[in-house]
Amino acid sequence: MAQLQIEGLCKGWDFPVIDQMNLTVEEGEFFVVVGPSGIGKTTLLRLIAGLESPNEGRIILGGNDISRLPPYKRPVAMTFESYALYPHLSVFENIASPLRARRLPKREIEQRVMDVARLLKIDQLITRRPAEVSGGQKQRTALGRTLVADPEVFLLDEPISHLDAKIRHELRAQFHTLEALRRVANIYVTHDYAEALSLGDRIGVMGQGGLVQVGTAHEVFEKPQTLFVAEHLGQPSINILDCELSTEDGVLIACHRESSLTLPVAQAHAQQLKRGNASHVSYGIRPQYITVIADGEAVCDSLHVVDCTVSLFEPLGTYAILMAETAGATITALSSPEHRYEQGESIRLGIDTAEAFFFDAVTGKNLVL
Amino acid sequence: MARVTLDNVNKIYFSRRGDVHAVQDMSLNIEDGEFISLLGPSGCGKSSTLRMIVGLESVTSGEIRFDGDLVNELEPQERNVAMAFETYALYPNFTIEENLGFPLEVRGISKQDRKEEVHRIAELLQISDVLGQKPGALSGGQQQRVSLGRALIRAPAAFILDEVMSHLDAHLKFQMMIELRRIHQSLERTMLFVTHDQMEALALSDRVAVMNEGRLHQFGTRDDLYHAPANVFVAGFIGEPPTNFFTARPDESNGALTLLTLDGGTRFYPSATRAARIRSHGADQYIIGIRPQNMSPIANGLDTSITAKVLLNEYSGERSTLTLMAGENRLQAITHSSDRIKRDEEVKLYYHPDNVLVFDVETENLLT
Amino acid sequence: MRDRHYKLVATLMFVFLGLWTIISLFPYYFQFITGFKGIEEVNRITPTFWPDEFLWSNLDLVFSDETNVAALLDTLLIASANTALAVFLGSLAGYALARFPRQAGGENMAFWILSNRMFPPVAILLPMFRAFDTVLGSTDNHLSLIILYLVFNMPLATWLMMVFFRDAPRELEEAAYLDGYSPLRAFFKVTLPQVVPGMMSVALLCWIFAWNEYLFANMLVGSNVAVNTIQMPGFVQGAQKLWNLAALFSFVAVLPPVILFMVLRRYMVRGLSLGVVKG
Repeated sequence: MAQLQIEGLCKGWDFPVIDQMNLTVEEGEFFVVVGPSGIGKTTLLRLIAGLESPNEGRIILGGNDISRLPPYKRPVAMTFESYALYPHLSVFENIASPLRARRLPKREIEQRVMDVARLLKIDQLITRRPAEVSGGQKQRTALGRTLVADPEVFLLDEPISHLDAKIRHELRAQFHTLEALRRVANIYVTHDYAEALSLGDRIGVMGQGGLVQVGTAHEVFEKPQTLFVAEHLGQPSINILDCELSTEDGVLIACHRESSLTLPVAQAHAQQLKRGNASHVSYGIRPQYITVIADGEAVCDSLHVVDCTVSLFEPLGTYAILMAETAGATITALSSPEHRYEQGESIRLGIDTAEAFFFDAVTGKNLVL
Repeated sequence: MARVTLDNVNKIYFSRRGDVHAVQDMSLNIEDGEFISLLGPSGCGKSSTLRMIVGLESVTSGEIRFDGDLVNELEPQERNVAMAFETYALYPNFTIEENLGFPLEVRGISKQDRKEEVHRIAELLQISDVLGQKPGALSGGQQQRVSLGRALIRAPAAFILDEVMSHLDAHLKFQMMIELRRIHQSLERTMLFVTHDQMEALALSDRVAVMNEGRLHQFGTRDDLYHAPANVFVAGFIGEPPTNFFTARPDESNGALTLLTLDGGTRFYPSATRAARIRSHGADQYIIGIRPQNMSPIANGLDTSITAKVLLNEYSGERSTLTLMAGENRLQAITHSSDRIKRDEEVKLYYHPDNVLVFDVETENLLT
Repeated sequence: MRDRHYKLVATLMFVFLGLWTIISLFPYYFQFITGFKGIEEVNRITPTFWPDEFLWSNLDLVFSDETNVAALLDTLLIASANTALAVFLGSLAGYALARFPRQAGGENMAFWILSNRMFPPVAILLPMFRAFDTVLGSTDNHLSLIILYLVFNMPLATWLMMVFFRDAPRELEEAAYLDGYSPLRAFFKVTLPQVVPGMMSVALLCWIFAWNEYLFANMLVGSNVAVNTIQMPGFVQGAQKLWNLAALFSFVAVLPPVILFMVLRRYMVRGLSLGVVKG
C-alpha cells in the first residue's frame, strides 16, 4: 500500500523549477527520472524527502499526506549524489544510523546491518571509515544505509554517476537484482539515458517545469511526445532537420530549409500530417535508422537512399559514428566499427523514413502519434 | 614536434607506511603527432606516468626522452609540454582573454601578437564570444575549452590532457571528443590523454596504452585491442559491455577440436588457426573470451551457436543488452532494440569462430 | 623534484630555522635560569648566562607562599570556566548563524557580534566595574572575571564556530534527518563531531586570552581572588626587588598555555586555516 502520489507540486525560486507536477508511483515500481543537469531532478527528490518545502501541492505516501511532515518523520530513505556518509563513523555505524535513530536493540541492529552488508558484499569493510574505502564501496555503504531503513519509498539520487565506467556497469546490475527495492516505490534519478532506459519500469523525462513525458522505456524512446524528449534520449543525438512540408506530384515531401535535401514522407505519417495541415516541422530521424548501403546491396522499399560524402568517422568500440554530408545537410548515422570510412569518401546512406518523427517547429510537439 | 619515448620507467612513492610501486618498467614509444591515451582503472599508474612525462614527478629509474633528448632532469617549463587539467584551473579574476593570453604574457610576447594568438585559438575552440567574460560566468563545457585553449596557445611540443572529460555529461562529452579530434587534426601535435573511460580513449586515440596496477599491458590501435587483446585484463577492460569469459577444456571427441566448458554444458568452435594453436600448445584448460557484440540471436548466415537462458533484457534505445546463463556461466549479448526476447526464454546465440579468443589459463595471455 | 637544489634549500632552511629557534627561545631560557639565580647575581650589571649556583630553593620560596599557588589555581579556574562558557554559548550562536541565517539575523548580526571585539577594552572598564559592584556586591570574586571575559571571548567563539559550522557539509545533517534524527539529535550525532577540531582551536584561543588578561583582573580582583598576571608585579614591589622569584613564578605561569598549545597543536593548524582551503 506504499503508493506515492504527487499532486499539483510547485516549487520555484526566480522561475518555476517544478510547475504543477502530478505523478503516481506504484508500490514496487522502479520509476526513473532522467533529464539534463540542473533541471530540477534533485529538487524533486528533496521535496519528496522533506528537505525542501513546496510552494504548493501535496505529497501522499501510502494514503497519508506527508506534505507537512519534517524529513525525520517521513518514512523515506534517500541516497545522496555525494553519498553523504558520516566521515567520523565506521561503515557499520553509517549503515546502522537509521536503526540507532529508532533506538532499536543492539542485537537487532547488528543482525540487520550485517545482513545488508553481506547482501552488498561490503561485510569485510564494516570497521573501516568512509575515507578508507573506494568509490564503489562508498556507494554501496550509502545504499546499505537506505536499505536498512526499510522505508516506504526509496529515493536514489544519481547513485552511480561518479564512478569509473567499469564499476558503474557492475553496480547497475545490483539495481536490477535487489529484491528489497522492489517491495516499495522507487524513484531513481540519473542524467544517463541508457541507464534510465535499462532500469526503469517507467521513465519520466524531465524538462523545464517538470515531467515532459512519462512512459515505458520503449514509449519514451520510440514515441517521444516532444522534440525535447527525442533529443534528450539517444547517443548520438537524433538528427533534427528544420523542414518545410510540401506536395510534389501528390506525394508529401520534407524540404530542408537550410540545404537542398528533400526527404519523402512515409505513407503512414503523410495522412496524419495532411490532416493536421502541418507545414513547418522539425524532421527527426535517429542515427540508428540511417545505414550504410554497400555497393550492389539490395535496398528495401522503405529506405530512402542518398549519396553522401563522409565528413567524420568515429569508431567508438562497440559501434561507430558516421557523419556525412548530402545536398548541403549533415546527418549522423550509426555504423559498425569494423569497416573504416575515410573523410571525403563517397558512400550511400539509406534512411528509414518509416521511423521518422515530425515535430511542430514552434511548439515541439510530435505531430504523428 | 615531439616523439616521446619511455624506457623502463619506474616510479616508487616512498613513505613511512610502505613504498608504493606506482609504475613498473614502463616502456612506450609515442610517434610525433600521434594522439595516444593512457587508459586504466583508478590507481593503475596512468596519472603517475603522465606526471613524470610532464615533469611534475621525478623518475625513480628509467629514461624519458623527447625527440631523443633525455628530459628526466628538466623542469616542466623546460620541457615544452602543456597540460590541461581535470579541474580547469582557470584564474577566476581574469577575463577569458587574459586567461588565454597568460602563458604568452609570461613569455614576454607582445600585446599585439598575444591578441592575435588568443583570437585564433578562441576561434578554433568556438569561444570567441565569451572572451570578455570571467570564468565564473561560463558553463562547465566552456570552461573546459578555455582550459584547453590556454594549454594549446603555447604551441607546445606535446599536449597533455588529464581526465579532462570526467565532469562533462554525455552530450557535452561527445561534442568535446569531436572537437579534440578536430584540434588534433588541424594542429598535428603529439597529444597524450589520460582517462578511465575506454570509450573516450578508443574514440580519440590513434593508439591506446592499457595499464593496470602499474604495468603496461598493451599499446595498440583500437583494432589491436579489440581483435587481439594481449591478455584477459585487456580483453575484459576494453569493450562495453565487457567480454564474456568461460573456462573450458579442449575436446576432440567429434574429430574437430572444440572447447567444452567445465560444467560440460556449452561447446565453442574456435577458428581453424586457433584450433591448431591449441593442439600445439597442449594445455588441458583454457580461458575463452567472446565479446557480447559478437554474439547474436540472429543467425545471419552463421551456424555456430550456443544455447543460453535469458535472465534480463535491458533496452537502451539503440540496442538491447541480454544477460543470459549458459549452464553455470553468466554472459551478455547485444541485440537489436526491437528484439522483444523475454526473461526465461531459451535462445541460440550465433557467433563467428574467428571471434572466439583463447587465453592461456595460467599466464592469461592471448594464444597467438 | 629538483635534487640538486633540494640540498641547498634544505640546508638554508635548517640554518634559518635554527637561528630563529635560538632567537625565539632565548628569552625563556634566560627567564628560566634567572628564576634559579640568587638575588645578588640577578642585580648585577652584567648578566650571567648560567647561574653561579642553581638555587632550587627558589622554588620553595615561591610556592610555599599560599597566595602564589592560589593565584595560579584561581587563574586556572577562571580561564577554564570562562572558556567552557564562551565555547558553549558561542557554538550555539554560531550554529544558529550558520544554519538559519535568516532567522538568526544574517550577516549583519554576525558582524555586530564580532564588532564587540573591536573596541578598546578600557572603554568598558568603568561601566563594568560599576555593574558588577552593583549586582554582585563586590567585584573581587571569580564570577566577575568569568562573566567579564565573555565580552571578548564569546564574540570570537561565535564568529569562529559560525565559520566552522558553515564548513560542515549540510548534506550530512540532511542525511541524518532522513535517517530519522531530529535536528537536535542530528546536531550531536553528526555536526558536532565535525567541528570538534575547530572547537579545540577556539577553546585554546579563549583560554589563552583569559589566562593572560591583566587590565580587568587588576581592576576587579586582588584580595579574595588573585590571578597570575596580577601576582607577578607583587614580587618586585616594595623594598626588595625579587626579580629572580618573579622570573621563576612567571616561567611557571607561562607553562600551562604552552603545554596546552603543544597538546592541541594539530587542532590549531586546522583552526587557523579557517576552512579556507577545501578538502
